[in-house]
Amino acid sequence: MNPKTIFGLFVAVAAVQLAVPVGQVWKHENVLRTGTAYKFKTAPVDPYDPFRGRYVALNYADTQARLELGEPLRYRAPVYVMLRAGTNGFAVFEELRRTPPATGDYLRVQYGYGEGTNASFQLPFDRFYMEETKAPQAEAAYWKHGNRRGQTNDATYALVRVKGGRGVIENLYIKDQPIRQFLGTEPAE
Amino acid sequence: MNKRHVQWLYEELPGLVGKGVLPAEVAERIRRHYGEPDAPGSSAKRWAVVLFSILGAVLIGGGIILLLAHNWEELTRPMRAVISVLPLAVATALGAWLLWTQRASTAWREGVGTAQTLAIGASIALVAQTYNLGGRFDEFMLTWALLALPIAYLLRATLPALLYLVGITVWTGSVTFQSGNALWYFPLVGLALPFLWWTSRENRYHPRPVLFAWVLAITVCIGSGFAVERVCGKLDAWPALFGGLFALLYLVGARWWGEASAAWQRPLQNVGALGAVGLAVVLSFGDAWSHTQWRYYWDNVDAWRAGWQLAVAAIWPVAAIALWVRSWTRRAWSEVMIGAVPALAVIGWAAALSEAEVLGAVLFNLYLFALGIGTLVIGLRERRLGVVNAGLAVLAVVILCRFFDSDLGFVVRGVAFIAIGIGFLVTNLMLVRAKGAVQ
Repeated sequence: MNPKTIFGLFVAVAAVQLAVPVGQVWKHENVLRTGTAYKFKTAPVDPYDPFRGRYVALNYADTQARLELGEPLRYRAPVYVMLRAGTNGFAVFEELRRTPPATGDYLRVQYGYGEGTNASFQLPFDRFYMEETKAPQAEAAYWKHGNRRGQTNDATYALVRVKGGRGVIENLYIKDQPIRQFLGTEPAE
Repeated sequence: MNKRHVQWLYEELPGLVGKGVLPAEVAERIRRHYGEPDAPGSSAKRWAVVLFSILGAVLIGGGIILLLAHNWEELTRPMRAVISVLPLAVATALGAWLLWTQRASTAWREGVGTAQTLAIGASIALVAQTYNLGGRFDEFMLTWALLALPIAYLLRATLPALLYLVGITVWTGSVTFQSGNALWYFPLVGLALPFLWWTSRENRYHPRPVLFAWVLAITVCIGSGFAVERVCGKLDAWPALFGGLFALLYLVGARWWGEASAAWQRPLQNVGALGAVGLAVVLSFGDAWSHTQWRYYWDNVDAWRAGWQLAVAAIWPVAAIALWVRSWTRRAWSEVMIGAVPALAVIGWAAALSEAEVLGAVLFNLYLFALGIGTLVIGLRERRLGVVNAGLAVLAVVILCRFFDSDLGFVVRGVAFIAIGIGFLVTNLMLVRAKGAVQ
């Protein structure tokens, strides 16, 4: 092949390669800047992902909603959960739909199991990245301020911006303080 | 022609001219035909430069990834987003400059190709970190591999192609564990095959195609297993599937890299022969055949998907047996011996389905014994010590396995051990003496 053709192809390939990360940045920056803010109650653990530094892995409380009966869904199938702002801005899951709704805030989630009044699902934003030494501290702080189900606890939650079915975590909160700020005020042990 | 052969010829020429076998003029013409031989050490130096450029790119790329993975909290989010894409932008600019200035040196192309490949993975992962994206590992690997492959073709760089092969294999494994459709593995492998054809056009014994073929042979063995996991796991057709795959590797290798001067230049034969013999040893145990559950499976799972996977799995043994039949007509005995595995596996599998499990094990015991003796005879006839020992090793393995497998007494086992040991020593002694007499 002649060098000019190869160069042309290289430019095309490079454009696609750059478009993947740049497109991700654009999409998620847009959600963060213009999306509606909701709070999601959390319960974290801290695994280690060598490719992406350290993060706090997040689980969410009460990820169940009503799903109208119909064709059985396979595990991890995409479904759409309708959102409503409850007390203090905490998100309330209204119902699961099989197709994206025309109006209202919703999230694209993965279907788990069950039908009728309590079908379970998984939220897509399941990790929060922090500086490598801070993620374990964050986890310790979470455990100390308890968020295990059934216990009275301080509010620990993720503030998530939602737009067009996509949700991006803006920050993580303990006792209504951003996690980084909270770790700064917490006396070291 | 192989460089080593040319070197040998050049060493012989002065002697041949001196003894009057060749006129000096003919020797000169031969030299002109084959060109200047490499100065001693020059090719080693060239390879050192290439390898160091790859190592340099890998280390610098890895270091940048680790630095960025620290997740500097002092930086604002947009700033981190820019920094995430920056390594890819820099590597791409280098690649463009390379092509624009038409720099053809291997060291440049491999180094920049490596850097760009790493930068693709780094950029995607770092953007995910900046925006706290979940994402699945298999999706990440597949995106990375697919974006990196064109670099292999455009920059003529080997490492992106190798990373692609490893990447799609990891993807296949990951998808299989999440019960997805991993059969896409085969078309994905197909995308990388032109690279092998393309790099081996000039000289198929060159390290570039040979290295690619090594990685291809190893990853295909793993990836195929994942991709047709239903067939392996539930139908228990794995003897035929892997027998076919290993034999096919060996038979294709024997046709494609048949005149290699060193063992490392026979990637497909090495992987194929090792796999085939290893599989035959496993199949010589009765237990390997006792769990075939064909009917149970058919009753329980949707037939369309299983039938589709079975059809894919049948490609290996059918192709291998077709090549094997050709090996008979060519009287290529080492190919006939290794290539027999899939045919035997199919017979054993069919027997096991009709509840005659013992037939497969008996067949493979006889096969291993014949293979050991056959290899031994070829080795003795060609006076090749390595081949003789390989034959003895096969015999030793099959006998040892039988003793652990059956309920023979300690005395019989002990005597057999000693006999095999003496066999090794005596054969080697005879060969060394015969060699000494020849020299």
